[in-house]
Amino acid sequence: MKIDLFNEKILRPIEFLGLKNDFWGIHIDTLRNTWIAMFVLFTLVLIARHFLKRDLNPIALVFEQAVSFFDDLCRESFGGQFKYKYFSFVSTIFFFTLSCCVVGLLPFTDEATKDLNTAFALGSMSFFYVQYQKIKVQGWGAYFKEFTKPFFVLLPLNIIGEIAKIASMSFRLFGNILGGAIIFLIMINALEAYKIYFMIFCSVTLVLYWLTNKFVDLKKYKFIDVTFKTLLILVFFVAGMQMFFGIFEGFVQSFVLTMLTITYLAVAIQEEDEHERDSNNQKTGDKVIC
Amino acid sequence: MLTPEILHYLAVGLAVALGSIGTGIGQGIGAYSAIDALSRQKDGNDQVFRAMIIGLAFIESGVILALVITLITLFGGGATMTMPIAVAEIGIALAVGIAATAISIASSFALKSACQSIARQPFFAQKILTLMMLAQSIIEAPVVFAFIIALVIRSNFSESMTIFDGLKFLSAGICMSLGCIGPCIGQGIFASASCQAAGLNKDAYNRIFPFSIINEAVIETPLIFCLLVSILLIYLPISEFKPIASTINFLVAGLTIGLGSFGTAISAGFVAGKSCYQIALEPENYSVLFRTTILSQAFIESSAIYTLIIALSLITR
Repeated sequence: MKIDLFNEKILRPIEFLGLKNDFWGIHIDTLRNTWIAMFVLFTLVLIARHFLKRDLNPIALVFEQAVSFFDDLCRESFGGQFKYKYFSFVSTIFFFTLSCCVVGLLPFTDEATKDLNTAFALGSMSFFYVQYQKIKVQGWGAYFKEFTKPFFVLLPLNIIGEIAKIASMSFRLFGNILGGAIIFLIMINALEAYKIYFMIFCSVTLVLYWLTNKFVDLKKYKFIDVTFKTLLILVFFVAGMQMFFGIFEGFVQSFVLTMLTITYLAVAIQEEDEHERDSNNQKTGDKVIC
Repeated sequence: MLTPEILHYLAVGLAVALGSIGTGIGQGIGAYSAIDALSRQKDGNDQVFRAMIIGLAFIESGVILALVITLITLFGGGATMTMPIAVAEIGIALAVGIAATAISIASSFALKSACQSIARQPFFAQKILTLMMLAQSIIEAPVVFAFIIALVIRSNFSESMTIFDGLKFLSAGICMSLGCIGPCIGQGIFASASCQAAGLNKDAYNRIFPFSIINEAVIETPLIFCLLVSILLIYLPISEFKPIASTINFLVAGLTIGLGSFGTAISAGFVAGKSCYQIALEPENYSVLFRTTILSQAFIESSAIYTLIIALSLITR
């Protein structure tokens, strides 16, 4: 059994500068997978637009439910007045990550988040957006002052702690998706077939079972019945594993990434609230009531 | 007869096996406490469920990183198998496996008390969830550090390595793995206490939240010392004239800082957790409690700094 883990096409346009690491190259497969994920997302948006223009119908309801879920999430986390400010960023990160994770279900395509560079890009994008909002809300002075809390001596520790946030966000996504992809690859290799052949095999088995069941009374031919049932259990086991690692794991991981972004954003805004309230209390001369 | 192959496959199994111990226990504790919370307060159904899914995903990510390291060791290929590389791989497996176990059990305690608090106050669930997620993402730092150390060690493999280089990498791994345990226990105790305190008195949340962020950074300090020492262990060369003495120095330095981080982190966690309860009970005493906690933690941390000094002088000797 041979498994190609790190066999990917990489273009190195700036190799003559001495930058030979994979980080400076263009990963062709990942790029293609990301474009496919974007295409899937764009198609979904077009479908949503088509159905939302009409009167009430079940497909429009699905999209409305998805939007209202994020609406509630943002309202609970940020409070009413900040809801629409961050709604688009938060929901975009979720849907893009989800589409990058589940795109591996299509034939001849792998998960785009299997590559560390994609996961790192998503994690650092979320991190830098939060830092930008923090500076915008609190100002440069308060932003830099936060690094020296509680003592000035802890400055390097605070900086390492901030950098560890990016690392933990991106490595969690990368590790989960890569782990799922490798487990599925090993399982498929054990069946000695690849995804597309396996899908054809699944559909042919299902159609054959249906046809035989329709024209022949299977209770009389025990052997055929048992064979078909064994094959079907195998098909559903593998399909179920793929559903678990492809959809469920991708869904949970993108939700965790989104929730972490929301949490870090909410922290940045909440401190401003507290600051404002304290200064208001000082203005009015009230005692701070806890 | 101890061949490189035996050590190599031992390392492959060890990482994911060690990691799965803690993840199993941790996910069990987490799911149990979620069901317990549901039976107490079935109105908080959605909130408890959301907290459980997020918490279990956090707990699981430790063993997932261990799995990735295992798969890289198994299928990554690269240099031919020699004794030094096999010894270094044992170090990688120890670091990642023990870190994964420690973080899983620690973050399960945060999930446990967060579920209890949400059952107490379902309408305050979002804030408690925020507190829990911040605590868990900080608890997760050890396994990410161990993963990075493992990748750095792997990138330094070459066929011209001597056995002393292999032992040097092993000592870096041991340093990281021992250094994870204490901070994880401390973080677990503190995160559990802070989530419970937010459930006890939701009006004290504005005090507990900044307090917990500062204290988590302080409890993490010994871990950062361990990271520093293990990076130094990887990149400093072994002395050419007396390699045996130098290797022994490196191993002892790793053990010193690893064991030295135990007590400090655990007791810092205890102190901060106790103080969190007090803040929930009487928020008006916040400034006194804050000052006392930070001062006592400065005294507690000083013993970790002594071990750091000894470890650094052992390495540079």
